[in-house]
Amino acid sequence: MKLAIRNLRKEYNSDNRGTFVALDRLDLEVAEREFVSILGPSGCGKSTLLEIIAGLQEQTSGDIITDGCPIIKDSNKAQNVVKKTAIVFQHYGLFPWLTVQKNIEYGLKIRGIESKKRHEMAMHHIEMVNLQGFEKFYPHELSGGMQQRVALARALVNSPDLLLLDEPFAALDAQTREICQRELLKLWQRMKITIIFVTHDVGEAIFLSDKVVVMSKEPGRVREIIPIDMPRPRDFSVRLKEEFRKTEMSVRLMISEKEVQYG
Amino acid sequence: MAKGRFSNMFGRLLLKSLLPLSILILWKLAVTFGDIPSILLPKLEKVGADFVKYLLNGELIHHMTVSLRRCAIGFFFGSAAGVGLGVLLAWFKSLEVFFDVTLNFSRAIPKTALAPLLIVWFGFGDFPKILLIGLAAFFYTVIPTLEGVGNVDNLLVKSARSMGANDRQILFGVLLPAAMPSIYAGIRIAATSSFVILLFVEIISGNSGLGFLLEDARESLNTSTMFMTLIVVGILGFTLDWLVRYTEKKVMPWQKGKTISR
Ligand SMILES: Nc1ncnc2c1ncn2[C@@H]1O[C@H](COP(=O)(O)OP(=O)(O)OP(=O)(O)O)[C@@H](O)[C@H]1O
Ligand SMILES: [Mg+2]
Repeated sequence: MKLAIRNLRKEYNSDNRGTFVALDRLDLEVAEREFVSILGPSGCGKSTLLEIIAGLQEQTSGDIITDGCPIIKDSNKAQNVVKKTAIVFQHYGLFPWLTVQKNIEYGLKIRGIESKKRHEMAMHHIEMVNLQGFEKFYPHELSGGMQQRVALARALVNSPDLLLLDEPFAALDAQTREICQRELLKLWQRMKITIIFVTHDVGEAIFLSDKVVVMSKEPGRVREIIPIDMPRPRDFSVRLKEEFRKTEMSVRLMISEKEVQYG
Repeated sequence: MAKGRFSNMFGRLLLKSLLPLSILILWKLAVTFGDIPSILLPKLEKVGADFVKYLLNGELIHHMTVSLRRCAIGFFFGSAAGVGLGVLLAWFKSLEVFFDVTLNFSRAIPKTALAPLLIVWFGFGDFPKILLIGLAAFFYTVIPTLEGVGNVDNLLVKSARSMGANDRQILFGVLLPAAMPSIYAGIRIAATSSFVILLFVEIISGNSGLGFLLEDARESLNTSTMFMTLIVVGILGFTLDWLVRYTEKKVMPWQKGKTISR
């Protein structure tokens, strides 16, 4: 799925802050099958942006066009658009009353897929995120990292065209995170999907992406877009290359400059 | 190890039964050696004999069924209405505003205070009793349901929406289960207070039921029957409490082991 965001603006109205502009004049193009990472300081509107793209919140103005069709936020009509888009939330949003397996099956059930097939697909994805043996556990019985992987499996099982990931690996230990990064890249290549990936980890963003979007804060907008041209498939040795470290350094500088300015 | 476990269990059992047994023994001693009129404290044997008598002539079963039936009907319809309206109010915010004052005012009236009025309106039959229990169950469930559904984490709703859930699926698949702990807390209070209110209203206006049995025994100064009824009432209350906690585990298996650690 390809995506064009034009002149997007999002205001929040709250009692204590009045009208707050979370996103303003935000433009972004995402090509078919592109892997795009978004970096930016806390509160710059990354999660807000993903939710608008997923049709879960309504923008104040501006357009989002997917494959040529604008996204409309409408609680019931949202289904049409949303079916092809999956989102993994920063705070997972797993259903506490469903087991790992039932959580993963949820989207399939909504679409009326019969239980045997659901079970099969869920099991396959449980294996993929390495949670065999935890099918019957409830979310609160899992660690944060495990919950995150359930959330990932729950999104992937719906075979989306566009996958929105909000800091999906933040709660993982370094080792699991590396495994997940590699798995995600494989999956992305195999399933030929478009991914928008929010993270605070500069190295992760560069390693995974075709391009890195750096956002600035108050109001949230795109500050810089850095294309990453390193050849694929990439393994972890690219992190040692001069090119990688130069890019990483310049992105880091870019972010910290901003923070000093607003400090 | 196994022996230790056993003696431990045995010790616990002993400790548990120590107090009730001592009370029975004290009772027995007091009646035998103390100079207590049987109208205040009947003989233990007399209470047992009454139990057998009422069991055999069918009266106990009759009054028990009458009471439980009133309790069950009132509780069922009352809490169903409470949960139903609570969900509606949470879903349609303007409806909540519309009902706000009325609901909070009538909630503040202790339900037992309505008993005299209901007796004037509907007499001494089943209906006013069931209605009173129903009203109590309604008010005990409507507010927890409203609050429970209203406080469901928006992230869960977004989660379901992002996977294509429609309004009906959100309501039954997300809001209700997410609010279930709160709803069930209301149901629990409704169940136990149904029983309390039932006995109260049967005592003041009964012609049948366990409450009537108590009041009838008072009028004929039949203290042993009173004690017998109290013990039956205690057993029923105990069973009700157990049932409520048992169904809670069945309805919300995910809540198991999630209790606050002490
Ligand atoms: N529902 C809401 N009501 C009011 N303000 C909101 C709401 N959601 C987000 N905001 C505000 O919008 C801004 C952007 O929030 P958002 O969660 O999108 O940031 P973020 O970039 O994802 O931050 P983080 O990196 O910490 O996750 C913040 O200032 C936040 O306070
Ligand atoms: Mg965020």
